[in-house]
Amino acid sequence: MKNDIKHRHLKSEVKELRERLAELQKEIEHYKRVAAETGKKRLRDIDQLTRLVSELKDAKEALSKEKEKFKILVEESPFGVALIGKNARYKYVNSRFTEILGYTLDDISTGRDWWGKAYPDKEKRTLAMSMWVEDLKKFGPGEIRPRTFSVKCKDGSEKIINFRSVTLSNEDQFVIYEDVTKQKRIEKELIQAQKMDAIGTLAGGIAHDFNNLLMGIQGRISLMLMDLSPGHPHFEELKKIEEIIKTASDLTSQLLGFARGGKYEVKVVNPNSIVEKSFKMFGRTRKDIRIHEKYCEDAWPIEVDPNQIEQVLLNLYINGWQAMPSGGDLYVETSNVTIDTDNSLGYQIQPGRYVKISVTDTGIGMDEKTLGRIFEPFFTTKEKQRGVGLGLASVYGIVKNHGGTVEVFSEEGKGSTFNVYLPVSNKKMEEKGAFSEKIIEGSEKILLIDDEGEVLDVGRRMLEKMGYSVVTANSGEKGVQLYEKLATDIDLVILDMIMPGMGGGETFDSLRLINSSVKVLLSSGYSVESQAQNILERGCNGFIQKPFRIEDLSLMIRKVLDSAS
Amino acid sequence: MKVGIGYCNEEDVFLSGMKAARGALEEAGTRNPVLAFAFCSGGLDAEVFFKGLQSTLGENIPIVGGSAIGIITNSNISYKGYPAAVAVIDDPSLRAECFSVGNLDADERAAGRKLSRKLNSTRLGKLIFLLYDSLKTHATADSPPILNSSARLLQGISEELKKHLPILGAGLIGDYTFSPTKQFCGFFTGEQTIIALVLDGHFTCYHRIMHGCSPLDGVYHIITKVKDDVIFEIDGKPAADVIDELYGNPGWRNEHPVKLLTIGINCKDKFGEFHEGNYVNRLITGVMPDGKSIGIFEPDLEEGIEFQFMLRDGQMMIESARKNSKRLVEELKSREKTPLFALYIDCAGRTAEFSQTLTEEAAEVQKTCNEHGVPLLGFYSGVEIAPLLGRSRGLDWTGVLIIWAR
Repeated sequence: MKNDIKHRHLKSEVKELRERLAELQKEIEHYKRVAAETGKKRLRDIDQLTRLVSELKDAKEALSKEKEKFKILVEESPFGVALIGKNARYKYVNSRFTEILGYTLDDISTGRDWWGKAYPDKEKRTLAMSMWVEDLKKFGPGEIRPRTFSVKCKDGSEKIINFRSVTLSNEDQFVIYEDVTKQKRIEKELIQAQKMDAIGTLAGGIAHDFNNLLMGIQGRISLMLMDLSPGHPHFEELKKIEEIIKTASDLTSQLLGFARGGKYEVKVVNPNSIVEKSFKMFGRTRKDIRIHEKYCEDAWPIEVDPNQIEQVLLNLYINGWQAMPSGGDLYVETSNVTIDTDNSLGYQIQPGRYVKISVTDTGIGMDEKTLGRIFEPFFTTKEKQRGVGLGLASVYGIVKNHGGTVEVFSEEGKGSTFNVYLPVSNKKMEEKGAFSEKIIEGSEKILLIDDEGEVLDVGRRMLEKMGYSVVTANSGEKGVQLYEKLATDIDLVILDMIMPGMGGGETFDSLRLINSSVKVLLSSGYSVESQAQNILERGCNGFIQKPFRIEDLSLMIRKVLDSAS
Repeated sequence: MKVGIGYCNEEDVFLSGMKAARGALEEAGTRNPVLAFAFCSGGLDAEVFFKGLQSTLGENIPIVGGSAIGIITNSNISYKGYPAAVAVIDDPSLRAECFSVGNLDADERAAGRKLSRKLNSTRLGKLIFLLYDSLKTHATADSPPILNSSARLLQGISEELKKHLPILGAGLIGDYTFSPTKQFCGFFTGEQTIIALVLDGHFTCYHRIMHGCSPLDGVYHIITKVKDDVIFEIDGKPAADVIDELYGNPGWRNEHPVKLLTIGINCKDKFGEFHEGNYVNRLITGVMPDGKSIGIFEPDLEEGIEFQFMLRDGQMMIESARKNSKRLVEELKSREKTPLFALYIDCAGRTAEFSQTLTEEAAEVQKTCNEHGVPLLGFYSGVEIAPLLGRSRGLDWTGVLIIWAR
């Protein structure tokens, strides 16, 4: 009985335990499922999150690449770039902008800052602002608005800037800044050089014709004077006329200098000696200004026509002196310089070694407009009595003709500096020869070839006065024919350079074919242009500039005749 | 102890070696280092890099290291381009002996035994720094790579090694495509090589293991069919199907290795509180060409083993690196030890790029080292080796920070 009860009790307990176990197993399964589901959800959520992070990283990388591209495009751009908000606040300027203009974003955070700093002059500012507003009205979004202005940089310098502005779709302004200061200066120089060349050609032509006229007058005066004693009532008058011809000849000489006709007598010299000589000579006559000299030790030699360079320097001194009506200081300085392609002068002259001669005055200076015209012939700011405006023109022509250049800096009220650059010569320096004021006579036979009847007539008579026997020809062709017949008798040919038909060059070559050792003296109303220079280099014996005095002609003839063939 | 780290990321490999070595010597302020650790990206010709190092360091200083996916230093964490670095150590007390054994791919266990026989000849002994070629064969378009087994290697070593020394180190890989790697064996370079550097001197090495995995769902599974490093069945079902079920989609099948899941063996109390240090994780290299089985990084799992799927969690990984590196340095400081040099062996799967984290896990170690002025050289590895639960084991998805202190 007891066992039965115990058995039933145990059975019941077992049943309960089995039921409990089943419940627990169910619970375990339930929790396993819950855990598994939770795990799956966790895995899938993290998987999803990981993919999102991956996409985000890809997007960041793509953005970073875009930024890099933008950085390269904008920051390494050769142009300045600015982005201006519609509230006129500067949002961005690239480093090139700061490089060109000096301003950072902090300097010009607002449009007002920009206008005030870039255009401190009220008039210019108003003009620039009104153009900006006008352009904004005229051009729509996306349309480029080009403008060029001179802008004040942070360091105080002025730069010419090409602006290209565009209104973007969000109404911001995108502006590109291109520094064209150097380009504009080159353009200006080029225009100036072309203008000077044109004027030079014209001036050269006038001087040539004028010299031929003067030659006629001078020749006849010389002949008349030879027949008159100093006591004759017309002697002094004729002498006076000769002086006037000399002045007129100087004038044409200046004109020819400007016309870049060439160099008469080229020598390798020490630049200091020319400068010193001319400056001392000038200083003796001008006591109202203080003069200062500074010479470069071991100045490099230059190959120049010393007379022409003296003329250049005297013109510059005179120009400086005239710029100081109330007195002042005139400085002259020589220095050795090397011009390379990076130098701002590199586009005007060949890179290389130069001697720089600087002439500085503390006078009234020049405005920009005057500066642009000072080298034009007959341009003058002085009263008529003080000059005809050929001084600086001849400076320009002579220096250019020597392969150099002239640089001018001037500020109103402060003075001007003229820097003359002359190329250095690798040759040794020469000693200067002597002059004679006497008529040197001779008895040889001379063939005179010139197309100008007046020159031919006067020339013949002058030569005969000197004791020479003369035959003449009024063209190159005739001269050659004559020489062919008389070659053995003729000791010298005086040959005009510019003639219609067979010119001086061709005539010279033909004469040389007949007699390779023929002595020829070139003569021209032009100075030695490249064609004549070329003939001289080919063996022609000398050159004389019309109009010439009988004394000079006689000296030149003797030099040629007495030289070895 | 003078320590200097030189880093370079340059395609010109010889120059890279020269520059890195110069930088290291300059930073250390020495001309006569006694030991160098060096690692270079798989994109560089490791042999030429080694010559570049020797051209500056000389040929009498042992250089230990080899190919690595990336480099970690005090100022760089890089696995892009051509990262390379070298640490030079100059210390009068430091004694280092370098041993190496080749033909690892033929038999890892035999190679381990052979190495131990060599190691038994040395009287030195504080620590063995072990490096080996992780890669037995390359990955192909259809199949994941086959790796040399750290478990068999360590087993071979323990079978013959007479002295019980802690072993720390790494299995080396050069890039994520599992290209062949090179090892720097002191005075020469090798392939399929094990290098054991036995260190002694007036310093002690302390280490910490950084984790970053937690059980996915706490559910234990049983490996019901396995051969070497391929698991065919889990709970009697094809292993890949089980993972498909977890993901809910087959996207993971394109991953080599699988990015979020690992296989975790709980070495302690089965139902005890979770502690990351109680787990040995095995990386899943990917689905096998049969589409049913999965590859694992180490062939040390057997049939009947219970495991849990572990979830890799980027935030947890970063947190673990932060917490463990800080604790290690603070612990050293509290024991009045001076940290001299930190060597960080970091699993290549822990990079931000691979783990899809927004920041680098290694940056936490870097930050700690920088805060305490400890020179740091780290590299991204295939397998990490460190003592865990009583013996040195090959680990996956971990970072092992070793700090030399005095």
